[in-house]
Amino acid sequence: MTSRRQFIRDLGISTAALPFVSGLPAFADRATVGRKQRIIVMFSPNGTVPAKFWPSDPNDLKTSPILSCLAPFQKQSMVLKGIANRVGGDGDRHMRGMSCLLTGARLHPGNIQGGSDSPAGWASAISIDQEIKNFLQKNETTRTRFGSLEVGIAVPDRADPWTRMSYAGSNQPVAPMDDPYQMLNKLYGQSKDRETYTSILDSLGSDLKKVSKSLAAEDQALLQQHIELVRQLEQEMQASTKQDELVHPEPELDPNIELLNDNTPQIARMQMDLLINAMANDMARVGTLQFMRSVGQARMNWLGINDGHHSLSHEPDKNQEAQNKLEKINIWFAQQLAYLAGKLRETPEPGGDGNMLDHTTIVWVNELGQGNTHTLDNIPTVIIGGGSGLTTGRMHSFVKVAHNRLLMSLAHSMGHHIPHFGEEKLCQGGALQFS
Amino acid sequence: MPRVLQFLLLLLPSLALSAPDGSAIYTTHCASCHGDQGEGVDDEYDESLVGKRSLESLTKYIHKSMPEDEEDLVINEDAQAVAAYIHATFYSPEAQAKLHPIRQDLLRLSQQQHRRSITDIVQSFRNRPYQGDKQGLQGNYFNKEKMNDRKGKLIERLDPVPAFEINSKHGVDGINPKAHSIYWTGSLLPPETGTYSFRMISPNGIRMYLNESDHKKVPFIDGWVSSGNEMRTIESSLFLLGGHGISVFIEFLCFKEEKSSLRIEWKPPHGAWEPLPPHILYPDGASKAAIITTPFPADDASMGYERGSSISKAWSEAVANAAIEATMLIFDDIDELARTKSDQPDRAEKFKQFCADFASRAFSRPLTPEQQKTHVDAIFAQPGSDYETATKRSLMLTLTSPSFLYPSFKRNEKGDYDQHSTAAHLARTLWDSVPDKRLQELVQKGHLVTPKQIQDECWRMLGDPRARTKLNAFFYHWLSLSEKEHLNKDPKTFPGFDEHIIADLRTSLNLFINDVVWSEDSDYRRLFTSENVYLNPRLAKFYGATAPKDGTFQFLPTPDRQRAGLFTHPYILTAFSYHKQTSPIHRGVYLSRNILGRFLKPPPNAIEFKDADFDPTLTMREKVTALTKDQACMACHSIINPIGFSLEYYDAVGRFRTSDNNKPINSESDYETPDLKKIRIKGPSDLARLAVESPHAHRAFIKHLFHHLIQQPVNSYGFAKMDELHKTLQESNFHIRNLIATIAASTVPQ
Repeated sequence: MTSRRQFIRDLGISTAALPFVSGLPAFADRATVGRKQRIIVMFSPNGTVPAKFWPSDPNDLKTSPILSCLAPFQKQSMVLKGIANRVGGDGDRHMRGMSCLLTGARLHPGNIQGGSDSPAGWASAISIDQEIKNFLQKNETTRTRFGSLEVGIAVPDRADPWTRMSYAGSNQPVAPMDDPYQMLNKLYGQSKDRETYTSILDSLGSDLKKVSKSLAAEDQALLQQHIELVRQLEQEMQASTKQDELVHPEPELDPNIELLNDNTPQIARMQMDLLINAMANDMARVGTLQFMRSVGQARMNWLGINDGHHSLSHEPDKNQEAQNKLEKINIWFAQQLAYLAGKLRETPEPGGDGNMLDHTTIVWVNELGQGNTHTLDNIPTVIIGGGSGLTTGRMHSFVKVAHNRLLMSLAHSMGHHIPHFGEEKLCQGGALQFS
Repeated sequence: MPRVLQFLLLLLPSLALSAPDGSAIYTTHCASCHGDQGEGVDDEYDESLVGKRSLESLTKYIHKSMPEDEEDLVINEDAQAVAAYIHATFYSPEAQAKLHPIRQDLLRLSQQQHRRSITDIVQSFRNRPYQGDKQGLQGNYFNKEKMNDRKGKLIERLDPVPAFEINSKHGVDGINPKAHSIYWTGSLLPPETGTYSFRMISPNGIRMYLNESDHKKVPFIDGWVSSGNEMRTIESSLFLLGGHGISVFIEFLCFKEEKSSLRIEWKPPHGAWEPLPPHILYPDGASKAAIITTPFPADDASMGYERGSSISKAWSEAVANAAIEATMLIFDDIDELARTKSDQPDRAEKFKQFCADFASRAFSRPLTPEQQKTHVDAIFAQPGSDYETATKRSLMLTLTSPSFLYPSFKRNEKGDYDQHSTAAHLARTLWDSVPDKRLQELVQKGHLVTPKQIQDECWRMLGDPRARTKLNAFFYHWLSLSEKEHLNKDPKTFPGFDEHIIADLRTSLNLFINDVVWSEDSDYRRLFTSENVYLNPRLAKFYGATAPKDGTFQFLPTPDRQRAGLFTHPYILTAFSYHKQTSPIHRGVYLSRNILGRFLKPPPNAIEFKDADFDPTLTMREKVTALTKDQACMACHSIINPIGFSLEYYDAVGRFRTSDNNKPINSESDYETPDLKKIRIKGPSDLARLAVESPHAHRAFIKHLFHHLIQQPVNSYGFAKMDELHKTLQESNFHIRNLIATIAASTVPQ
């Protein structure tokens, strides 16, 4: 069940404080200056199976068992090998892998400890998605209602450095919203509530008229005024409904999906549909899509895998059964990316050329290179979509290049030319160039 | 015998023949300028002859000054007779009340009533929060082997406040200084309605949940992940209802960290940041409250008190927003409230029943068959609408329905008032809310009929925290303090008089008022006769008293030992002062009008007090005397100034002083009573005597209290109402709570 209070907290204001009839979405007619660009960071946890991930032919995704389902996007894609999270400091590698992934900066020392390593706290800097969001929100021509949307899928209800990758600043984690109903409420809740309210105004009017008859003449004036105000509100609501017709109608959600592990595939679809819908209606141009969390123990029964993901990821390379399962798991994640990219490609760019994928960059990342070694090197990285103009259609190989430089490239591709990001010494060499 | 006299004799056989005829005199000498009924005559004297002078005063005035330029025409007995005629026929408020009976206006719920009613209706589907006698929070202390286990419980105890410091006497034996955790449970009872801020100060992991049904919900403050063991402050705010307890759950974790400490502070409405005080904390839990945060436009205060007598677009939008907000809050926990589960086959039926119960509680009576149809059945039967949407519609319709919004529609189908109306009236009057379970039960049994049953119920209801909150607000309204929100003074003139002192003074005033009202004798007179003031160490230091030993507020004497309850409470003296100086005029106006019940006309010519216009060597008294010396001013300032001057021993922040501008204080003057007696007023104790003895003061208190509770003019309940209540007050040894119960019980709609 969606929580009204969570919703209000997420918005940062009481929705009730807004004027009653506010043209909520009203994005359709906004003039866009320049080319619209969006970015989505997709996360899946616990490393990949390197042998099955890197394409043997850098120009052909079909030569990667895990990535082959992305072949239809070959031309608008890019695989990056050799990206390393070189941020050191406190916290175990899962923790750093997660909370330094988009920040490129160290964790604060703190009270959160996993199996080993020193305890740690939150990241000490803003993450790249929030950095880009702030940049876009500063400019009136790129500003949107939410700026960014942080979407979760099966993220456990716990706030710690393993569950958060997005940061508004030092010590300020941003929680992903992992409930599609809550998400729908955030995006369209107000207009929905008001729609329900409008539907009772007729009954209310007759109720008022009825009681007003029993009143003394002196008191009738007040009730007449009340009746008039209700009538006025009804008219205004009708007018505003017409005005606010969305470019893309609000999606209908299957109302009966519970937030259970086994429903993850349906929830993932719903969340991706909502994110695309919100972007189509230009409510945000930055998104994060977080599958589970670092050290996530999702049991992918829908793939016939009954073990927890994290436990599996610890199994050695020689455990073929486990590796096969891990491969299946990562193929499933790749399929999610394929769905997201496909859906964007199917959707014509509102008020622009081509389709939405032409204007969107999806960056798929992981907190580790491989689960059983906990390496922070060779983080499996795939970029799809034409939003950034970065993609070259093939794989690029680097040697342990600090991922800070990739984060810089992403910002630059969105027009935000920052000289460094996160830990400064890791930015040496500047933004990564692909050619 | 002349015919006129014959006629008069028939009508008034008791009148002596020789007595002058007031009516005839009026017609002959007065009506040409004042009109037949004192309504005034254009181009002559166009103001109506209405006022508050006593008969004696009116007689004197006519004898001396009327008719204009022919003052000798109506004198002595004639003046007396015509004054009596005028006074009884149209001049006095009593005469006016008879001439123009005041009707009870149609009122909608006030903002306070609206909010609290919604919260309480939703609450009626859960347990009502109950705060027992025990105070503090239940603390549970653990050692931590691993971060996430909850083994190694060390102690469970009642802590006055949730706070910890490893390097102090924490009394937890065997604690691992670098790895331990604590959690506290209980509830918090907010004293008044408004926005409360809380902050947690700690270098460790901290979480606070407020008003959540279980702690798996969203933390109100989340600082679970510490940051380098560095001290940090995390703050958050929320809107709470006075007298409605909410649950508190606080978690603390020190894990592999050197420093371990936690402090929690709050900032209540009108307050300053201060440590969370023990007196609002209870170890008993509380179920979740649905608190409406929708802003409402201010209620109409044109009658001198707030009431729902007018409506506006902003109001109707707020009603809609509040209904939507309430519906969404209900939907957060709909299965719990409707007593079902998401997979139950009868969920739709349960929702429908919930809607019917909800409407019935909102309307404070069983639904009529027609209401059952319009508010529930028809909505659920709408084609193409699922039952969840139907539930939302039904709730929204109920919460915007006139049967909920207008208390006077709380009658039965025939349009008569019944026991349900009585229950609704009592709940609104004493709580600003709707009837609780107990009231509903009484009505069902038919036990809310006799005056005794009703009066007994009023006494029971006065024991509820909601009654306290409503009464507390009354005092601020009566003393015109609600409009004086900012008490800041010039920091150079009054160093140390900061927001903490102001917040403490407010606490001190509240403690005093509560002390008087809720004590056994509940004696109105004690409001004015008390020489002590509630002081904590900070106030004691500022006001030069001996500091209380245990650091809390204690009822202590001040060095001057001349205080007289409310008249000299520093909060009130400060509220009615200028930025740098006292203001005898403000003190005089507010205290004579509100407490002493004097009627003051608006000033004939508004003159602003400009300090710079005066000789700088003058005292404040000298300045005010010079400013108001004009005859036109003195009509009222002969009342105002003596009251104000009598408090000149207290500076603009209520501290005792003996000189003003290097001259000794002169606080004495002659004050004219409503009966035109001149009495000498020297200081606060003389004011106290007036408040205690003067019927005008009693009636002012009754009137303000009545307005606050009932939101209708006293006279609208009959001309004798005021006399009746005054008698009640006097015969009960001025028992305030008894007066409240009587007001509530004697205004039950018939």
